[in-house]
Amino acid sequence: MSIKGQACIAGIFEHPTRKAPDKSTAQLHAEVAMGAVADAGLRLSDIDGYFCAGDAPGTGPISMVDYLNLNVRHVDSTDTGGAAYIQHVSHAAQAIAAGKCDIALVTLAGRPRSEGASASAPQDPRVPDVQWEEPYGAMTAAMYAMAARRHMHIYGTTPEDLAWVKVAASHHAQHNPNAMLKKVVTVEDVVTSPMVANPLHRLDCCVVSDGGGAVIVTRPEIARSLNKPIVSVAGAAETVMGQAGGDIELTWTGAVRTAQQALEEAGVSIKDIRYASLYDSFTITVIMQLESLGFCAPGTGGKFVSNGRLISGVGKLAVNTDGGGLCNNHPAFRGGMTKIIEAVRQLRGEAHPAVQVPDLPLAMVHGTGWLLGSRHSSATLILERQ
Amino acid sequence: MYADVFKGCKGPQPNPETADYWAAYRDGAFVLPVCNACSRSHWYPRAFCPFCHSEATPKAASGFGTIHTYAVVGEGEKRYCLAYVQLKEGPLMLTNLLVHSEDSLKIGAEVHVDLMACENGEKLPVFRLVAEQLAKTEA
Repeated sequence: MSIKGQACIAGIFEHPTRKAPDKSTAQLHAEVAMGAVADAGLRLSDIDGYFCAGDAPGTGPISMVDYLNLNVRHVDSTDTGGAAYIQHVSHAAQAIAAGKCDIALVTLAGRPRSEGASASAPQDPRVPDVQWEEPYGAMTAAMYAMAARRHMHIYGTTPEDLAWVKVAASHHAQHNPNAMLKKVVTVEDVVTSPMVANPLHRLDCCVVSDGGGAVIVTRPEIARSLNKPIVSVAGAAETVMGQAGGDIELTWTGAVRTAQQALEEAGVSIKDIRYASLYDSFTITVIMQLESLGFCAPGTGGKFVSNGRLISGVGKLAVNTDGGGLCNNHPAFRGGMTKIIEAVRQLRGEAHPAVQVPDLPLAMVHGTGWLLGSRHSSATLILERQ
Repeated sequence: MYADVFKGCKGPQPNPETADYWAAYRDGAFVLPVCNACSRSHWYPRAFCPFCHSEATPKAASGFGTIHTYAVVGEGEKRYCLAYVQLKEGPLMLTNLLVHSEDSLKIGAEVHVDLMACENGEKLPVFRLVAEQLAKTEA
């Protein structure tokens, strides 16, 4: 049994804020929820399934369901870091296909800027890897930097190759009135920005933003009764990948597994994908995902992104036309929701005209949650315009 | 010193599963988990082998490895080097490198373990470059 065609994304909403000192975290969850149901033409009282992750305050979904006053018969608080929401769409489709849910709400929201939060807070000592990693200063950027260094060593990927990922994102972000960083940057700007963790510069890293987003997933009959172009879930897959007991090469990700499975379920080839929302916590994340997903051969990711080839209209694959986490939005350190939202915009034809991919029937969304270089989650969604 | 160890943590927090490893390090012995059934070494230490799931126990290890990858973080006195070392016995181990000169920092360079005292009384395995150690003894 497959989920292909069993569910549709019928509502989307990305909160316009990037700094929210005057709202609570729960309030932001409520605002994105209301925005998504309004986009769908539904009401919060129609929701019978709720999905959230670690950014939602409380034990799993309990406090948020209470706060929003939802009446649910299905809940899921799978938390795999930033990729969680991509998995939530898949899980919602599965619940809908199984008759456990008709109209699912997925929310993400947080206020790291306003709260002065750090992505590298002290960790729970009961987590088995913590005592073997925390004492060494294994902070996020440093872990990704090690993956980048290894990729450069094996494949000759250059800092300029990495920079092109940011340059492309900035070309897209200039058209996005809500983007945090709207200025177009050059390769020179990126490689001369201060070093955060060698070889990653500040401009190789995504923004830290307040805000969030939400989506509504529903069964096709309900989607067809609403007022928006139909975006159907065609395929999905997820995995968690670690260091395999110390036997791992750091240059590929779980996308190697999930892409194959999701594409097979959707019945399409990677060659059919002309728009992809790819997790962009760092520039290296995009390059490694492009290779692991199969858009290009291992080691050729640097070449694939150079000369602005990720910019809509330039190469064969447009990536993150909202400006991504690198330039637009990466709310609460979690980038998966905004990736889904831009893919849906593209399929509906609602992206900014300057970045809209023409005649687009298919989109891929891919998320890498937690940390490359240690353990991460990979989640792939294939979405189809009906 | 070009890059030092990370100084922002009081030290590791052992638990009942890992107590024997941290006790060995406190005694100055670098041990690695070895599987009682398949003899394979893994990292980070668990009570069982993550490959065949039989029991694993700490055994004395060579302390040698090579740099698999690294990242230098921070500036000046706070600068530290995070790295993965490919241990001679097989597994990849996350650690810090103590580096005197930036020129010595190369993927593939030979390293050797040093058990460094932490604020909380534990000893943490970190690695020094063999080439720099040899240069010091020759000087």
